Amino acid sequence: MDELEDYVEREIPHLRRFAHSLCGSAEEGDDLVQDALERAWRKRHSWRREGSIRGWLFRILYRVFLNSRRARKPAAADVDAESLADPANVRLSPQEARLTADDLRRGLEALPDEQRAAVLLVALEGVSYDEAASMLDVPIGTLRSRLFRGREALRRTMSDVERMPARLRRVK
Amino acid sequence: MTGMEEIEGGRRWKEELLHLYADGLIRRHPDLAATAERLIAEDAEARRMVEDIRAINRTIVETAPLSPDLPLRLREAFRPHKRPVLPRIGHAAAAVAAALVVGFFAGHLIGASSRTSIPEATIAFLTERQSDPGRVAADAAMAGVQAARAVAEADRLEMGRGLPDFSGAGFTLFDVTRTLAGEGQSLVTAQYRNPESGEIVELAMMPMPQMPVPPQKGAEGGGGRIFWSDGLLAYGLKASEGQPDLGALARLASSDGNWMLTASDTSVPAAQTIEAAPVTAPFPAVGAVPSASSDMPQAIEPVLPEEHRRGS
Repeated sequence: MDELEDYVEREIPHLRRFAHSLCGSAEEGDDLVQDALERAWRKRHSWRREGSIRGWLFRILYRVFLNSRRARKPAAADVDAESLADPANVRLSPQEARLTADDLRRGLEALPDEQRAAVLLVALEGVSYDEAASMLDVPIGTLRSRLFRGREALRRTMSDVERMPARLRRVK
Repeated sequence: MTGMEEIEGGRRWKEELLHLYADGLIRRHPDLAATAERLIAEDAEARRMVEDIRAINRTIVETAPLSPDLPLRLREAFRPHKRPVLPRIGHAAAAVAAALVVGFFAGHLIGASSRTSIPEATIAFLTERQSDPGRVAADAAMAGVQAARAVAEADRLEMGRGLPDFSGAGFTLFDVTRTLAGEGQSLVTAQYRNPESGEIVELAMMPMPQMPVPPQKGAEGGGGRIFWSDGLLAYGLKASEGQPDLGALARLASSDGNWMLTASDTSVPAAQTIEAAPVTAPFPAVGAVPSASSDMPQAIEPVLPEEHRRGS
């Protein structure tokens, strides 16, 4: 395995995590990562050594994602509720954690793809806004705008949900 | 700048500062951090905003942990590809078809023995595929089989017109049959003989999706049988007579271009012949087969679908 392959393999867990959240489905996310990696292989000569491999890969993944979304309307997310909130990782009660995660998932699904990507990328990767803008291949101002709008929409969703009696929230 | 613009500019600046603070991106800028903390202390809405952003970030991270497991298909994705990857539905097909392949070879080459000698890499491949959520439903899998077959089978069966050339190891082809196995998988069985040593080997080939498996000897009986796959076809080689070096033959078969053509009539796609089931007639032989010995079957009419026969 050459140096680039080695670096790329180390980034796959990060790509998967982002893709799973972006697509709302582990299977669809893995398909996206596979497509992105295959594209990256074909375009590997475009990677410049001075650039960040993670940024390069995320840029490719996000482009592939947008292209696939243009080709079809996203299907209803099929996320295993168990995977939404791991009680071991949260301070809330398991039930509350699941409710919060479920609410957040619905809020994220309702966001435009571009806002969802910005919100997820900053949260998951902890990158600066400059880096996030580069990874999504958009100007920094656009990134800020998408991030802030996306978060504001999520806050509204979550606060609306919080106002509901808990016993009613799970009724569908 | 008008008064409204100044207010708007100030509002945006404040908003950005609070987002940066909530994201922990101004820790290295004490002045900015102090300003943000002052805003939070003075303004309940600012404090709520920072708390909300942090809660959103935390929930996103908690619900999407980094997974140490790396599916094989992703590990292999940033590598050279010998052939186009099957459509997505092919993944379901892969599990089923590969199981058929392995199941067949296990039965074909091991016979009545209850012990199997399926290569570990193949088992790992199957396990990875079959444990993938959503890909175990039988209906989806069968739909995948049909679709994958429609897309990929024709090309693969064209490969069935050729066979590995073992002449470099002194073996010449003397019999070829094609049958159907399992769910309509085409199976080619070829027998080779070494006239000097009297050794005979039997090679079985059938379509196998996706995953190359390097030659591996079966666990049972040492060198009595060997399995491998080039990601396109799955191979099983066994010794029928004597103790030939199966590893050397497998290496020959795995060498690029080390194949010989056994069918000269390419006007009829080999894929069409699977409609006549079961097919047991040998392939039509070609006079120019380099390793063909005198006991190789003479040219035989290719097996045609019913409509072709009626039309002739």
